Amino acid sequence: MVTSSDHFEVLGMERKLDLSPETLRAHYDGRCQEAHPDAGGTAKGFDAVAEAYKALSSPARRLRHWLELFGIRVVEDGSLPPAVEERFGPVNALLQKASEIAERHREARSTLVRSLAEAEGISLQGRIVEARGELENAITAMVSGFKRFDESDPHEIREEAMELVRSLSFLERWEAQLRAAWAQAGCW
Amino acid sequence: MAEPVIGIDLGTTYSAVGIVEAGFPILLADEGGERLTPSVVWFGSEGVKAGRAALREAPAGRLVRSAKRQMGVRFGEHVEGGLPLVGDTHGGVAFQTLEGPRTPVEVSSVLLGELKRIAEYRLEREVRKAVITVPAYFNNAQRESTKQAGEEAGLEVLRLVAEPTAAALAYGMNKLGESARVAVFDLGGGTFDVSILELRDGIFEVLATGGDTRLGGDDIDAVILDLVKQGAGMSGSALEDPEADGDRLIQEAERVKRELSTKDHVVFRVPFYDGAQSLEVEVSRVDLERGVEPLLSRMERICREVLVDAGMEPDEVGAVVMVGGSSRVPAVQKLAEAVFQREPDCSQHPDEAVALGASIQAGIIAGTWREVLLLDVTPLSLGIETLGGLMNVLIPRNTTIPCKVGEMFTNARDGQDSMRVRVLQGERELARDNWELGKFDLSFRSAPRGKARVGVQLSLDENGILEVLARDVEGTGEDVIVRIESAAVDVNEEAVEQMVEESVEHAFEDMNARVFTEAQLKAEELLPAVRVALVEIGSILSEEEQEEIRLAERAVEHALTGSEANVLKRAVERLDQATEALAARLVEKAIKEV
Repeated sequence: MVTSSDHFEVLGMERKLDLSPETLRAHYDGRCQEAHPDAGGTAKGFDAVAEAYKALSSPARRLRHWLELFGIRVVEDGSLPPAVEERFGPVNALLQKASEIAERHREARSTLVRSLAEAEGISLQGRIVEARGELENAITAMVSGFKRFDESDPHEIREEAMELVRSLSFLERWEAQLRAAWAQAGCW
Repeated sequence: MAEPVIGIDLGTTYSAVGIVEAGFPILLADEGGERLTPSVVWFGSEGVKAGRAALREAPAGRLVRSAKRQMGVRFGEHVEGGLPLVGDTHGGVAFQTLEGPRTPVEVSSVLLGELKRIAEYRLEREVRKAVITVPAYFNNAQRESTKQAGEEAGLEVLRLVAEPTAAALAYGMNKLGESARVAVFDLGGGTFDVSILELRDGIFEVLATGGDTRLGGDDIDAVILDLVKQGAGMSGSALEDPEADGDRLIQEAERVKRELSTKDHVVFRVPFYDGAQSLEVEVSRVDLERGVEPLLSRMERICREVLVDAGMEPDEVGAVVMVGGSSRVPAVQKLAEAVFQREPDCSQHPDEAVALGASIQAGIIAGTWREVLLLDVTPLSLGIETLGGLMNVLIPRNTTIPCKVGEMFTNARDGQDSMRVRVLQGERELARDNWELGKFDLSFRSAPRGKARVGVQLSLDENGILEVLARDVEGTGEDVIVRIESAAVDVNEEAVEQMVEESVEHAFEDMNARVFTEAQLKAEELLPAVRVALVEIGSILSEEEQEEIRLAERAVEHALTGSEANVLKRAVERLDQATEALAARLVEKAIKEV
């Protein structure tokens, strides 16, 4: 589906990339008080608010939307900077390990083996938390560049920005996968 | 004065009704001054009685109890208990009463009618509009059944609100200036829910919810009855004797459960329970705690999953609000304390908080309560079955409602005029492991493959109920509301619970199945194409190239007979590569021929 509405406008905000979660949340809350069906709004109107909030909450989607508002179509496929690409290996290893531990836990016939899997899962959770922290730091570092984008002509920085959209999309996805793996490693 | 809107907690064992009056939520008491109405109905030859009147007048063993547990449940997947169950005409279950079969919706509508009557008696005016609570974890079919019961009772159901969310409203109504993250632990008679909410500036936002629609206080009563049987040295079926007065046994088990919250030993005593023999067995709290351990571990698991879904650590939860009668059982409180690492908050009345919250939500909708806005979520992921039998999630669980999502469908064959779409709810990757909410047929205009396109919009309204809208994109562009052929009664909660429990555990297996299915789809597309291309221009390839393609083909065919996803995937990739040159030549040839 084509993006037709301006998410920044829907939430009553300036079209600025540099945006704290608190500011975003405050605008969302304010708009909910008018747009929610219980507050006299309509399901359709509320949906636009919810969609805008969801899109702007993710730095990758926020940047993509910002570019699109300036008429710049973001190309999905393209290269990733090596610094991002090389993060996949370690992340994937953790995901595999979490699956493997969960499976061993499920298949275990004795309490001892099950406990061994649980112990391993707990120590893996620590590593997953660390890895998530690293991804979060990488995302924060990239987002710190948003301020400069706000001050630039979007068309001049388009290539750089598009590569950043791709990098952020991957980092955000891996972060979410690690979160799921963390739960999996808990052997519940 | 505006038309009154009442709030109803339609509970498994007890129900209550309230309203916002003079700016404050209150519960409405019956003629006897009682605010809680037992959720029981008696269908007698002289008429139908609900609540206390039914308790007084029904002969032993004729009460319909816990109808809520059978809401939206398909016959064959129900759990027996109380009155015998039979199938109804729509595939659901019905209670076998002396006056004939009565469906859970009919029973619930009698109860709702009684609550309406109590409200009208107190308010001295007609009541036609209501907000009704449902367990957060109720699915589409169960929600629709509840709404239908309300309508049959002459109530326009303005909203279905999740029980833990309602309890949070009651808890938070005096704390509007504060920001807090609150977990609501709701262990009712028949259902268990945990929700984590964020309260900020008058907005109550549900961050995540989870639960089990077949786990509740009734299960603890059953543990007590088991202990009594063991203690009396009775065989398993003695208490299911048709002569035994099941109602009295259940009532006594409930009393023992309550007393064991404050005492270490309580004597279970039912004189002449089958008309001749009496029961007198001491039950200890220690035995009860051991007996409920499996129930507790199910609760613990759900709590932990909800924390993960909310993206929170236990120490980020500011309060654990305990509601539901069985939240007062000490072992349950100990569990909540262990999981959330803080002393549970028992400031709310366990049986009244949900009805008070329902009343507040009724006030919000009626405009008599303005300080608060509630943002609730859908408890289960919603999706459709894709080619190859996978579940394609369109609305993930814990998405704020109302919400909608669009999906484009196209004809897969020339001239295909319709397509069947199955709508699923659940957390598993394979379509067949989730429940089917219903299915609908999309009509295509006659067009070549890929040219007829129909846009479908799935939306969940503010009650969490599904609506499907289809739009013929290339043709008329008109919206059509699609009638879902409801599998409304296809709910098997045990399967649900299992589904969610297994969804994390089976991620690996599902991944394997997904990889295999995807590779299989690719293989089935590639193999016939390779044969066609070889006949057409195979001769321009070198002997080695042709040999490699034949080898790769055989490897794929062989892998298809096995079940190893990675083997199949590698084989398909090899065939893909081997035919690269072939594909390039085909394009070259096509260009030259223009």
